[in-house]
Formats: sequence, structure tokens, C-alpha cells
Amino acid sequence: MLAPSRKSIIVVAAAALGSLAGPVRAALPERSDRVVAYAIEATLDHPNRTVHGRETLTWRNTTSETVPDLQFHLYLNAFKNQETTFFKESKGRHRGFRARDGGWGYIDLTSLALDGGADLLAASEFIRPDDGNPGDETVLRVPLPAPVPPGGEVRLKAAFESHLPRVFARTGYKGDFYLVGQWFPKVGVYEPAGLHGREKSGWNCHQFHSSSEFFADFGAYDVTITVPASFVIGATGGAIEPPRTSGDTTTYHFAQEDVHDFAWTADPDYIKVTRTFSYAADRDAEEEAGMARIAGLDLSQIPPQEAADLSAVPAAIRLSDVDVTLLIQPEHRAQIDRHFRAVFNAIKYYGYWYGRYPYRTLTIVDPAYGARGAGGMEYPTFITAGTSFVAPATRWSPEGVTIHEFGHQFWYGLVATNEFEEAWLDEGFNTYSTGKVLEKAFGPNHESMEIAGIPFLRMPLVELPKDPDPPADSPDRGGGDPLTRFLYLRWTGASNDSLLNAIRDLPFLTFPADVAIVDPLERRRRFLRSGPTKDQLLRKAWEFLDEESYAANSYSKTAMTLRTLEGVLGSDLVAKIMRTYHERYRFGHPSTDDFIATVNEVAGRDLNSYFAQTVRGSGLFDIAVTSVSSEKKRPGAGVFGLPESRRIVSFSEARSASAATGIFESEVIVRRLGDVILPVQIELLFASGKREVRDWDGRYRWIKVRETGTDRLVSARVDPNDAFVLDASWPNNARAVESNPWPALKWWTRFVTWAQQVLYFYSGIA
Amino acid sequence: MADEPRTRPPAAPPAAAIPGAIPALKWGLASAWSARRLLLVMTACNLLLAAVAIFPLFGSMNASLSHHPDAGRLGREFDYRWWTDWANDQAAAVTQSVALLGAAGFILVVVSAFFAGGLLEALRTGPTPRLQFEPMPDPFYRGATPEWRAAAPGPGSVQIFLRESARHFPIFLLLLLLSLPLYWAAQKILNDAALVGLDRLQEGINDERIGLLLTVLRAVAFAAAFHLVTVLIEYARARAVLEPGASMLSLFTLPVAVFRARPLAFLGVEAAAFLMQLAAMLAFIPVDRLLSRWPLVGATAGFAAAQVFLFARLLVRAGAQGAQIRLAQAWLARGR
Repeated sequence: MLAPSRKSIIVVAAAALGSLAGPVRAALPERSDRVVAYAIEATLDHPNRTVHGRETLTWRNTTSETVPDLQFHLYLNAFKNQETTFFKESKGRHRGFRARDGGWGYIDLTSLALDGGADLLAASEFIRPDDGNPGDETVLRVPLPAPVPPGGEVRLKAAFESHLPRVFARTGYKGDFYLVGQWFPKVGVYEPAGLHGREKSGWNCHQFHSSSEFFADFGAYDVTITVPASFVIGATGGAIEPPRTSGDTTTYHFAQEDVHDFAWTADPDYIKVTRTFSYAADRDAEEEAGMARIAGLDLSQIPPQEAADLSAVPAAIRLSDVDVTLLIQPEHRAQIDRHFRAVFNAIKYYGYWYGRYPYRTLTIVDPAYGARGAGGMEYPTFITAGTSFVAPATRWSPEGVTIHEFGHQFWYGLVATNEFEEAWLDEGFNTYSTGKVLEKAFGPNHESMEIAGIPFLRMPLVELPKDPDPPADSPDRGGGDPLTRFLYLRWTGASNDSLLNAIRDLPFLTFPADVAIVDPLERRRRFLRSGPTKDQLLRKAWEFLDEESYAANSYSKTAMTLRTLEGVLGSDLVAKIMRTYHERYRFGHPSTDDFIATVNEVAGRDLNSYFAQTVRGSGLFDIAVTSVSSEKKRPGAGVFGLPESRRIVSFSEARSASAATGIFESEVIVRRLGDVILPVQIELLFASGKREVRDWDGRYRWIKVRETGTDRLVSARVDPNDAFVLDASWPNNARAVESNPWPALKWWTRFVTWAQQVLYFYSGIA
Repeated sequence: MADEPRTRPPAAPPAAAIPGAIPALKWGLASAWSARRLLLVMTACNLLLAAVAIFPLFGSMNASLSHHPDAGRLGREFDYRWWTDWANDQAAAVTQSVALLGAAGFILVVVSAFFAGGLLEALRTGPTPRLQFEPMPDPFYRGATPEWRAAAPGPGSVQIFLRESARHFPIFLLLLLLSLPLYWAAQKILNDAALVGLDRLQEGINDERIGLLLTVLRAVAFAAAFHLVTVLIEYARARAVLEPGASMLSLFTLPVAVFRARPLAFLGVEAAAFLMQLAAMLAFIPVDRLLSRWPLVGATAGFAAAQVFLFARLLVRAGAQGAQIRLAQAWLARGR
């Protein structure tokens, strides 16, 4: 356990939090419920790629029910063979990386017994609660000789052999590099009836799916790890005693409370750099003032930027110092400062916006070359980022992934929602907040590719048809036969470098360019490209149509939904909502309903309809200005006046009549093309410069706005403030009366120019 | 009717030695410049096919941009928001255009094989003296001698060109077909097998710099192998033009022989041509950026500049082919 001097004591003034609107918690919780306690001794058998482990698990029944059994995650068995659920769903590929023949992974539980001796292994059985796949062995049910009463505890001892896979999906090895995650028998979460809509009590212990991540109870971890002496090691938590070397091995002792997982890494090549995020040195007084205003705190309590005495800063805003350890590959040493700059900004802004990071340590891992499958992942107080040797300073890499993975500490780590069932509450929330940190600290992203003046984000010009059954042993990601690949301008094979992949196939006039891209645009692009109506956002991770839909909904659409919520409520109110939600549910395992209830409470209005459409529905939001006209009022044809003063005007007379008194009849037609109904504003711009704004509830499919006056209508626009990021099509949000063909002609000729280069290539063949 | 004049001018006199890369390339470029009108026709063909392939996109682009209130700005600078939405909306049309581009490419491959005969015949005569009198603005075949041009009217140069092209087309088509398995072999060896092999090799590589270097070398090797097949066929065509009736085997052995006789000249021609193409692109880019600031100028002058750039590339390529002919001529004249 942690020594007293290392305990983090979080004290928040009740008065400070009491000023936030609504019944919020009096203070940030100091600690979690600590349902579990793990004590693990692990030894890395490097030649055999195996971790020999001995585990003592204490599980506490925090429910009011009697629990007859335990269920364990044995995640490593997902990599055992091609019959597992993970392999069947992923076809051996994960985020572009593939499994390798001979690189299988699995966990053997060699003994499992009660502390006191009763064997539990004999009666244990693998279960498949999600899909019934008999080839899957990632969930083990362990009947207990005696059920655990409410409030009671059970202590078990287990011995296991974790055979690590050649890394391609987060955990495993490559050469001397190890990233050891989901490596020990981990107990599931027992949920009582009524919690999150459960009809009856039971274990929430899902199989390991291709799209899912993880869910576990909070507790304490005490882990000793023995590795070859030459290896540099990093892990969750902090070292609580100096390492002990014996012969050619070294044993490290780590511990961390109030976390729900433990991961570690080892590699003799790491360069280890430790720096401390110092609140006093890195604070942002302006941001503190902004958050104080949002939280309703006394702004006079915020000292100026240069102040040395920070004791007056409200505890709700004050941050803690954090010791950050970076384990980086030697060829990336030039990017050390970039990693620290990114993570320090993340600690600062996530802390300001949602509540201080409560742990004393953070470890960042840069996976080895060829082991990027281990990158981009989060564990409590331990994240894997990853970078490339070619990493232009203007691009958000490695900054983006570093900030994103740290940000998970706040959602996956501290709020700890169920990533199996409600991935959006972690991935999407973090995508949203990552974008805001990047904009705050780094400005727009600058991406790299351009074709004949047309920039694009390192994606192929045209998506290759998906290969439903890519070759297992090919490093290429598959996609079409050779002729198709040639036709789709994928002339050379893939590589490990994404930048090289982007430029390898494209003809002359393709070259790096500097294009400023802000995060919401990138999210929209990914979402719209993925087939945005495949699924609704809220769905179990393995029940999405495909991995692309899972990613688009859980990450991109969520971020867009929250950005649009800012447009509906205002960014300050959404900031207050997010802060309240995090504070209230830190260590709390909330659900979608909890978040929506928080939104309604803090916003003071019922937004269930908004979430019903955006989170529980799969429709699109698309409002379009389809027609704009403004014509001079002319006298019409026909019979006018009373008999004594009657006059008849013919069609030709009416057509040739000069305009009347300079009156314009203007009409705008706005249509709701999507299924999502949101109130929007319609802005009319007139020739005099005058702007008029009309409100429309968007309920019917269209609206006609008519205006008669002396001012000619020039254009009309919906959502003039660009608040609705969810809008599926922005170009149709505005329309002008007059037309201008030159922009289209110019861009079309650029496409022709590029096509000419392609044809030049073809004409040179033989 | 006057005797039909010889349609093939006499071969160049035997060279004392096979020239180096630069002299050969200079000769080739001068020959290509003499055939510039033909290259203009090729540029126009390229433009026509590209426009047909990309034409389906214009309607949607126009619908999206023409009535946009920000049309002026969208015409001057790239708007990523517009691009994202338009590209997503028109994904099917873009995919179709790529397929059309592929079809156009196929057509151009066959058409290029046909016209290659006439072009090579034009190139083999070398730089022609500027004529005092042009009977007609004729883009085709400049291989006829001045004496012939001044003689009684014979077959028009267009007809000569087409006849030369047709005469060589069967063998050129056969060479095209024979090249396909060679391209396929380059693909299988360097894009498939080497990829797998390199992937396995990289299991033992920890330093990304080494891995990246190997990856780049593999890609460059594929590009070089692909180009090598093209050069092989180009030399084969050159021999077919210089020695009608030569055996198929001798067509393919010519490039090997020339390489063995003058390896630096052989490689130097290709390298110099590539560098010239690169230089043309680097010269074009700032001009393009300048002209693209204004929609109307970008759509007109900018577009014209792009055609000049393409013409320059075709000129350089024809110049390289002319250099190949010059090297081949010299090698053949030396009596092997």
C-alpha cells in the first residue's frame, strides 16, 4: 500500500462547489469504493515471452445481495487462436495492425483457490454471455463454495502463466519491447438489480470483442515485477521502494490505490525522462478566472499570473503537482519536449475543466518500432502514445495522441463508464475534450498532403473497396485485386509509415502542404465518410455494423454531438455541465441516463428529445437553403379596378412594364433534409448590409420565408453561427441569389489537371 | 503520278562512338522540339480524355459552389469544410470518375502505342532544319525531307504519319502485351513478396530510421523496376523502327547491349529526364500558386499554365525517347 506521505488528499471547499448551479456534490470524492484489492507478483520470462504470476485478490460485495460466484476476465485468451470472438470479429486485424502467425497469446490459470485452501479451479467453467461462441475463453465463471453475503469479502489466490502475443492489439511483445496489459485474471463488476436498468442482479463481465475496451471495479493494486536487469520498466502508479537487483534480474515494486487496472512495460532501449508538472509554474490564471466564473466562484480569489502566493486559489480549481515519466525510443529523443509540453497542457486544462488529476504519477510510453499496435491506449496513470521519426512540428503528432490518452484518465479512468456497453461516454467525451485542449494549447492542426492544390488529410483520394477477407500473412491492409488497386491509384505496397503510405502512390503535383485543420472538421470528415446512418450512437461495442461504424459513432459523432450541444446551450453552460458530471460521478460508473439527467438538471431544461435523436437515434441533421429569390415587384396582368375605372393589362404589357416603386419580393425556402429536428436560425442578408434573423423550430419539412421591401435580398443562411457541427452538409446551409460559375470552374480544372498527370503516367506504359 | 517518295528518310550516318547521356539527350530534345506540333496534339488528347473522365464532377461542383454566398472566397482559397462535405456527398461520383480515368488510361495506352510509331519515325531524323516555306500548318509528321516537301504534292504528312503508325502498330501492340507480364512480375516481386519479406525482416529491427530507410528503398526499387520495364520496351520499339523486321529477341536484347556498351549513358538519359520532369514541376508550382489566387485567372491562365507544364513533360519524355533512338542508332552503326 502507499506510504502516508504519498497519499493524495483532495479537499474542496464546500462553499466553492456550492455555488455551482444545481445540487452538486459538496466536494470532489477523495477516494473510490475500493471493491477489489490485488497483490500480484510477476516475473517476466523473456525468452519464452511469458509472465509468471501469483495473484491474491480480495473482492468485497458492496451490494445488498448474496453473490454465489465470481466471474473473471481472461482477456489474453482472445489472442489464443482464430476461433475466439475477438479474432472472428476482427479477422486478426486491429486498427490497421495484424496478428502474426506464431504470435499467439493466452493465459493459463494453473491454480485458483480460496485463501484457506479450497480449490476453485475444478468447478470453474468458461462462459460466453455475449455470443455463445464455444471457441472463446475470455470469461471464466468461478462458483464459490459459500456465497458472499452483502458487505462480505472473499479472498482468492491464483497462479497463472500469461503467454504474451506478438503485439498487434494493445498488449504483447516485439523484440525486446513489452507492453503488458490485460494480463492477469481480473474480476468483473457485480451489479445489483435496478442499476443502469438491470432487471436482475448479476455480473457485468463481457467477452473480449474486437471493438470493445474494458470495465472493472476500483480498488488497490500492489504489484512486484521482476524483469531482466537491463530492462527499463514503467507501470501504473509509482515505485514504493527502490528496485532490488539479484543476479541478472531486477525486481520493482509498484502500488496505486483508486484505480481499476494495472499495466506495465519493459524495454532495454527506453530513454527514461522524468519531469514534474508544477502547478505553480504552469498555471493559467486566465483559465482559472474563466472556470471560476462558470462555477460561480469569487473571481477575486484568483491571483494574477505572476503571483507567488497561490493559497487563495479555490480548491475546486487548484491543481496538484504530477511526476511525469516518459519512456521514449532513442530515435525519437528529439521529441521529448513535445511530449512533455503536450501532457502538461493536458494536465492543466483537463484539471481546470473537470477537476484536478488526483494521482501523483503518470507514465507515458512510446512503443518500439513495429509495435505501434500497443500505442494509443490508456490505463490508469499509464498511457501509451507513439510517434514517428518524421513528425513535423506543425502537426498534432505526437501531441494529439498524448493529450487524448491522458484525457482518458478523466473519463475511462476516473468516471469509469462501461466501455463495453456505452463506449461513447469515454471515447467520445474524450475526443471532444481532446479537441478543445488541442485548440487551446496548439491552435489548428496542419496536415500534410495536397493534390494539385487540393489538400486532404493523408487519406487516399478514393477509398479502396474493402477486402472482406484480407490475406492473413500480408502486411498490406488488403483491399481489392491488383487491377483494382492499380485503377484506384494504389500502385505500391503499404508500409509501416503512414506518411509514406499517403504519398507513395500519387502522381506528380502531389506534395506536402500546410493546411490548417481544426478538430471539429476532422471529426465531421471521419464521421461522414464512415456511413453515418449505419448505427445509432448508443450501442454495445460489438453490436455496431462494423468497426468503422463503432469508431465513427463512439468517437466522432459523440464529439460532434457535444459541440452541437454547445451551439444549443452555449459553451459556458456545457462547460458547467461537463464539470458537474465529472465531479458528481468521479469513481462512480455512471451511465448514459446519468449524463442526460445531469445535462437536464444543470441546463434547467428538458433535452431528452435532443439526446433521443442524436444518441439513441441514427438519423442525420441536415438543414438546407434550397431556394432564394428576390425580384422586383411588377404590375401583373388581368382586370383591375371597379367598373367605372376598370383597366385591363395584357401579359405583354405587364412584362414590359417598368419596375414599380423599387419594391422587391423576396422568398427563401429552407428544408429539413435530415430526420433530426432542432430549432435553427435563418439569417437573411440584404443589399444594404442589413441582416435579419428568423427562428424556425424545424419540425415540419420546410418553411418559406417571404419578405417584401425596398431592400434586395442577397443571400440566406441557416445556422449563421456554425453551431450545429452535426449538420451533415454545410455547403447547403447558405445560398445566394446571384450565381458565380468561376469557383466551380477553377476547382474542376484543378481536378482535370491532376487527372492529366495520371493519364500521362498511363500513356507512358510500354 | 509522281513516284511516291520514300516515307522513311535515310538513317543517320554511323557515329564514331556511342554518345554520352547529355549529347544524346540534347539530340533527343531537339528532335522532340521538331515534332512539337505532334506533342501538342498529344497534349490535347490527354486533356480531352481527362476532361471526359472528370466531367461528371462539374455539375455537382457547380451546384455546390455557384450560388454559395462565399463563392468569391471559395474560389480564391481552399475551404476544407466545403471539401469534406462535397467529397462525402459525391463519393459515388468521385469513384465513378476514377473508374472513368482508368478507362481513359487504358484508351490512352493503346492510342499511345499506335501513335508511337509515327512519333519515333519523326524523332529518328533528328532536329530538322527550319523550312523556308510551310505548305500548310500540319501538326503531324515532320520526317519528310525538304526536297520532298518542295516536290509535287504527294501524300499529306498526316497520311504519312498514320501510315507509319499503322505500320509499326502490330509489333508495338505485341510489345505492349509482352510488357504486361514484366510489369506483373515487378508487382509480385517488389510489392507483394518483398513486402512480406521486409515485414519479416523488420521484426528484428528496433530503430525506426532503419526500418523507414528499408521501406523507402523497397518503394523506390518498385518504381525503378516499373520504369525499367518501360525503358526496355522503349528501346525495343526504337529497334523496331530502326531495323524493321528485326527478330523479337533482338528487340529485347538491344537495351541490354546498349547498357553494357555505355551504362552511364543509358542510366544518365533516364536520370536526366526524370530530373528535368521534376524541374518542370518545381517551376510550375509557384506559377500555379500565383495564378490560383483568383478564380477566373485560375480557371483560365492557371489552366493554360498546367497545359504548358504537361507539354513540357511530354517534350522531356519524347526527348528521352529520342536519346534512346540516338544511342540505339549509334550502337547499331558500330556493328555491334
